[in-house]
Amino acid sequence: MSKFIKNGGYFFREIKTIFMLNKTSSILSLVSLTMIFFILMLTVSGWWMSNTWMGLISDEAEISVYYVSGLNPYAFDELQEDIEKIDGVNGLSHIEASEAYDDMEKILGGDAKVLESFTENPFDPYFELSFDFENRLNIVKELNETKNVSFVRDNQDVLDQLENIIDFIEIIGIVVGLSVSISTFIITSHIIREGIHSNREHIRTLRLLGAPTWFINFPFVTEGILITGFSAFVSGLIFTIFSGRLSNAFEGTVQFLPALDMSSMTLVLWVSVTALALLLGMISSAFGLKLVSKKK
Amino acid sequence: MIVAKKVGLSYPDGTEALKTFDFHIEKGELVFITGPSGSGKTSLLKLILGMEFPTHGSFEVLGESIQSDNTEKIQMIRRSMGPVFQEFRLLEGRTVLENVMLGMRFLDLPLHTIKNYAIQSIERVGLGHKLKHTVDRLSWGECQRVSIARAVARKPVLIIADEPTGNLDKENAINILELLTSFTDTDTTVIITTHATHLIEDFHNGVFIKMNAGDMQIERRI
Ligand SMILES: Nc1ncnc2c1ncn2[C@@H]1O[C@H](COP(=O)(O)OP(=O)(O)OP(=O)(O)O)[C@@H](O)[C@H]1O
Ligand SMILES: [Mg+2]
Repeated sequence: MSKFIKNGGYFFREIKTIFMLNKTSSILSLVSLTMIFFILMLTVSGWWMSNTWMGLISDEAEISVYYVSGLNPYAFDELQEDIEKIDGVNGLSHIEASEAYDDMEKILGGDAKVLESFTENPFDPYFELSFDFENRLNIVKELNETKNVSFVRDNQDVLDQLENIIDFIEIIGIVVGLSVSISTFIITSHIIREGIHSNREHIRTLRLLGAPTWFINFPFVTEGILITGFSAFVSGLIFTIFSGRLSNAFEGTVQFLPALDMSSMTLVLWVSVTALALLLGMISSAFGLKLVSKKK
Repeated sequence: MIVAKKVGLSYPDGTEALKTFDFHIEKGELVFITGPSGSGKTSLLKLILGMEFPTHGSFEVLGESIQSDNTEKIQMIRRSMGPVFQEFRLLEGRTVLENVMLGMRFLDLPLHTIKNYAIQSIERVGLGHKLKHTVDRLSWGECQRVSIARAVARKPVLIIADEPTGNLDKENAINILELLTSFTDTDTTVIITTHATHLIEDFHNGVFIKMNAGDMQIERRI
């Protein structure tokens, strides 16, 4: 520890010297890493958006179950049990005809007068389901086969269209995300390793003078961490500005997709990509040093 | 200090750089290794520094066996050596002072002592006026002297100098030889290779190793 403190100034100068000696490649590394991290952030945020949309859309999903009228209480209970047994159904609430009337009155607002022309309540009671979004197709199918069910209503058509769009975004997101993550890892470690490789004679000289490994490695690992960390930080900065602009531009362009609040996601992304970059910088420097110091 | 028993060294490409030899070198001895280019002088020094491992036989330096499974210990004994490399191995972009101090930074010495030792030895090789120059701007001979300063500054128990006078004029060469050999007074073992045999004619005591195509002829003069 005392040796570390004693050499604090030296390490600081070394980090600067190592950077300056390989100035062009160091700067190119910074620039390309910044771009890679930016692309990574774009990809992750695209994936995040499609997920969030998916969540919002699944909240919009509805299934209403109408049943034959005049069920005796025994049959009514049986029907309720049958519905609850279906895989993916989490619960159901019974909507009385009067409630249905009230709901429609609210929906119609000023036009609710139309309803007054009916002498009897035109609405039937029904069950409203809470359910797992992924299982909904199967649920509808099974409901249709259930005894005493007269009609199943869902908003499947609209959802299907939206889902198709989102599925598409998600597939692209996964493919791009995967390739970007892998290339981020490879390129980052490659760049850092290259940097260390170009200093291999320096490292070898230190070894021949008997320098301990930590003493040799410290400036290089720090250098690697600084380069990746700084790149991630800068790309986070660019991304934050960019995503702000993007969500402004996005607002209102696609009617049926709600605009999302990206600010908290951006911050989380910024922090986590920077953390990931620091880790990546550390791992790849250590890896690079290992390769270089393999020689006697 | 150094004990070789039936040691030989062949490079992976099959070059037999050192044919089987035995020797021992004691504390405080002065050793001159001479021979034509390619005769194996550097190869012998590489063995001593643990840069190469013997192909066969047992080779011990400062009590540690030079072999591939002993690299930790080899790294330790290197701290007690002062190597002068034929190709200098200075760190570019750093000053003369920094280069010399670098050999000591990781030793158990306070920073001011390290600096004092460095300055003393740089002055001793006649470069006191160039402490703050980066080594990139030095002449060949000056670089050689910096590498010598780096080797001796940390007061090693074993100095290994590969062609330390190779690029120097006669006056500087003799100065450097005197500097290096003076360390035997403090019981430091000094090993010097050179093909300039005329420079060592004035030395009458020591171990003289004549190399020729991997063969070694050892003569101890007292
Ligand atoms: N890494 C290596 N791989 C293969 N052969 C090598 C290697 N290093 C040296 N040699 C060969 O080993 C022999 C001895 O080389 P060495 O460097 O020990 O000679 P030297 O006596 O130091 O020569 P010089 O006076 O020119 O420095 C030479 O034939 C050389 O070509
Ligand atoms: Mg040589």
